Amino acid sequence: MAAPESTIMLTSSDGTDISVERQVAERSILIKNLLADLPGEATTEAIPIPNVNEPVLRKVIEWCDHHKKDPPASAEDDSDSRKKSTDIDEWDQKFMQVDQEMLFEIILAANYLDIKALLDVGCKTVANMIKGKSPDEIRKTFNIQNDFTPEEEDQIRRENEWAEDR
Amino acid sequence: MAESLKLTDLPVDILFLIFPQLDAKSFVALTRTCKAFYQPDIRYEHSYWSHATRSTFRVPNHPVIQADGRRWQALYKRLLTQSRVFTWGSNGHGCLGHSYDEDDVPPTPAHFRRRGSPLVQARARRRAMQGQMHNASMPTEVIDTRDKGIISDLQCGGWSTTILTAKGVLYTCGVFDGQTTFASNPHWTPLAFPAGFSKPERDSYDAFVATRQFSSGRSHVLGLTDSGTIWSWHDVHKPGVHVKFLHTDIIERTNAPDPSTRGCAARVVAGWDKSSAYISGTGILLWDVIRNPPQNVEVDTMLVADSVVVPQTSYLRPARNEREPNEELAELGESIGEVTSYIILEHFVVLVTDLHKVFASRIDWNQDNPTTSSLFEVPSLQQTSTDDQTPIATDVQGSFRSFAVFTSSGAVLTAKQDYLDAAYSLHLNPHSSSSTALTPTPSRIPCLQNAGVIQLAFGDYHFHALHASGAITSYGTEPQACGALGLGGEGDPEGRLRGIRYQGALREGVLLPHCYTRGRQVWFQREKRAWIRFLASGAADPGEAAERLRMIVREEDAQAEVSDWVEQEGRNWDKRKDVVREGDDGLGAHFALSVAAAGWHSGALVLVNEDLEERVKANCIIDDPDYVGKDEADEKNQDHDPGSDQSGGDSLLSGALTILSQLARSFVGLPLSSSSSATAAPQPPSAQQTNRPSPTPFTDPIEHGASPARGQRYVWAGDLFPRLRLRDGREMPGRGEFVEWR
Repeated sequence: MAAPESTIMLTSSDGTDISVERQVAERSILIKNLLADLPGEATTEAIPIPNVNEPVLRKVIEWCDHHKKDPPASAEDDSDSRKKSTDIDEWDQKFMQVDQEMLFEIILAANYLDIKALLDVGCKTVANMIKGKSPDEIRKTFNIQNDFTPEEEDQIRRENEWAEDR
Repeated sequence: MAESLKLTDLPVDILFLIFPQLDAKSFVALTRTCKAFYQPDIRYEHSYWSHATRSTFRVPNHPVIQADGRRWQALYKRLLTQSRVFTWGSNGHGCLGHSYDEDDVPPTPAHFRRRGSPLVQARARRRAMQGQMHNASMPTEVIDTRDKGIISDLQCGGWSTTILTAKGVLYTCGVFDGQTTFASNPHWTPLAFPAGFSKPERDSYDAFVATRQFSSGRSHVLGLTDSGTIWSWHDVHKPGVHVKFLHTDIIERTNAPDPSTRGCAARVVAGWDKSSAYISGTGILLWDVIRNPPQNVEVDTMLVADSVVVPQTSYLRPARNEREPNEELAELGESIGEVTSYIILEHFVVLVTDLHKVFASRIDWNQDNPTTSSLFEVPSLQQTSTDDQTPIATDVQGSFRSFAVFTSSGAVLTAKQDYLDAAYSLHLNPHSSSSTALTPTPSRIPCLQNAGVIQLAFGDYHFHALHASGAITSYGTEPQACGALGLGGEGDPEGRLRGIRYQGALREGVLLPHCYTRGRQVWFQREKRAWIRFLASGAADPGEAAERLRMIVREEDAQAEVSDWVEQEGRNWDKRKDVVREGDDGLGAHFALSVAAAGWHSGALVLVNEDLEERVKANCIIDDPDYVGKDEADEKNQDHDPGSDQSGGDSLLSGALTILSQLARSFVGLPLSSSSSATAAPQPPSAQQTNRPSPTPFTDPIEHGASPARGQRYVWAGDLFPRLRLRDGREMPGRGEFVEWR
């Protein structure tokens, strides 16, 4: 195990080098596995993260830094999780108060870097923005173009009436 | 940077992580926003609907149908309103939960008033003599469970039936240990918790008593609640015991972590006389059934000292791209893998892992030294062809001495426990002089292969298969004609026409092996009972049918082939063009969600589309053109006393049926000697016409399934008893046309 104070360098897609504590960076399973495969001295070289730009990478590192002491995630069958999406801790909720584009970028970065807990928080945040809304409200929230004809929409409404409040 | 990123731009694998966080209403609203989200791949996304169905209704997962999103969505819709409980078989200790006086007529008001008719009384007397009070030979709905909310699971114990509601409450009828009591308990009793805990059936949600999953053993029930707590019940009327272990810690808390987290109980499995739980990261934990704690002592927690972890079952596959912590574990992951399902038989633990391999461990249990053997692989159960050694087992199900292994090739292997005994000897002694082939072999019942079988439920001598189509088929034997096969009859000719051969003084009802090719479906549509009774009574012309009916009693082959034809005609009444409407979900009128069996009885959780059920019924009934109306007062009179004189205006049918009083039900127990059958031969119908006696209950068209009520008849009322060209080339005697095979 590397000493917690050791740092490594990451290079974002737009070419910026960011120095980060190794323990923080290892919240990313991708980076953790990469480091494990590299011989000791090679870790001094910057690791390129080609899919994530600087602002997003900094944001992700901020999250990892806050959560560096969390216990590692266990094996988990996603489909069996019964957690409710209201369970986002306060710090994370604040952290996720960003514009939609940044939110989606963080989710994509978390997915690429394999940071399951961050990916979860991101997905839950999106889910909370959808919950309890009508199709029209969801369209407004996410700026989705309604591409159905009125006839189609009417039929779809009838087909799905069962899911409305009873 | 690219154009502004939107929700619709996210890759599907990320969308699929967002969906499970949504309730069904929100998910449906999202899919309605635009075409991209309304495409079937998203709208019917299977992991969403299976997750929603299972988490909302606590329905157990069926690995075999996991990937069918449309089916899960239809199930979700129908579970909201349509889950019904049906039970059948021996009603010892009241385990069928029918608190009304059970008769095999439907419990509608129109039929209730006929409960006292002489024929019904005669049946009741016969049953009493045979010691089978109120058994049910066809599925009968348990009305009392309708006010319990949505029912999500049902299981049978040796002398009991237990249901789980979507709110997490368990109810049991019957008794857990039928060997120690003669008491009967036909009422659905909520399984209680010790003083100090809330009552789940009454109080608001409490994670410690809301049951997430349960398992019914032969004589006890294990429950696992949302908090991750294990409970054990051994007496229906006593509170459960909170189970803890001296040597194994289990995580329990109100906001329970995911069951697959290390240290959490993921599921409980109750066996013949053992209890077990799968603890993530620990493995399969085994302990004895907790019997009555000392009397007058309030025991609410039981610390179990003698528990055993089945060796080598602890492995957990690392999440996604995580790596193995050490070599030893990595090796376990390659040789054995993570347990995905397991069962507890009388003497063996059998498990399937994520490597699709089948393993077993023998339970060697004595007071001083409870142990289980090391795991041994059973290759013959995990591959279905000798050329391909790739393990393909996906699931194992079973209880007591019978079990089945499901494979990804669609093959389903059924075997008895003695097969494992042989495999165990071979494992201990691989170079023994006897040949390496195992003597008992697993069987492949033809109609279970590639037939979308989801579940197999084993009773002592019978078993059922649940198919993806929602149909249930039956196999094996019903002791004392108790009706456990659910095919009808109770020793009457109805069961015979379904392919049951009754043998010996104890009237063992054995389903003919011939029936294992096409399968015998359990019927839920009430009109089918009338139809099979009509056939069994000789149909429209019993005189003409007599020779053929006798042939069926005498010859097994003829019986098998006629029962095949009955099976063919009895299928898909709810899928016919004239009853199906646009907007039907294709699941049919009666869609079984799960099937359970134990001892001599069975049960099923069925989603009933009442509208479609009514359409099927309407399709069976026409006005009787021969009926001469009477004034209403008279008719009411008749209904109250169907045995009274009706010679005036009844349809001709009753005349045709009259001769049954001679051929009658004597045919049921007819000795097989030909001389007696010759003397029992009826007069030709014409001879009867002139001197027609007033209809007795035996000739009443309603009792005989020719008519649902005065003034109406079933569409089949004019049909003759089927006449077949037998496979051996013979033609069955009679005058009618030969029936067609489809």
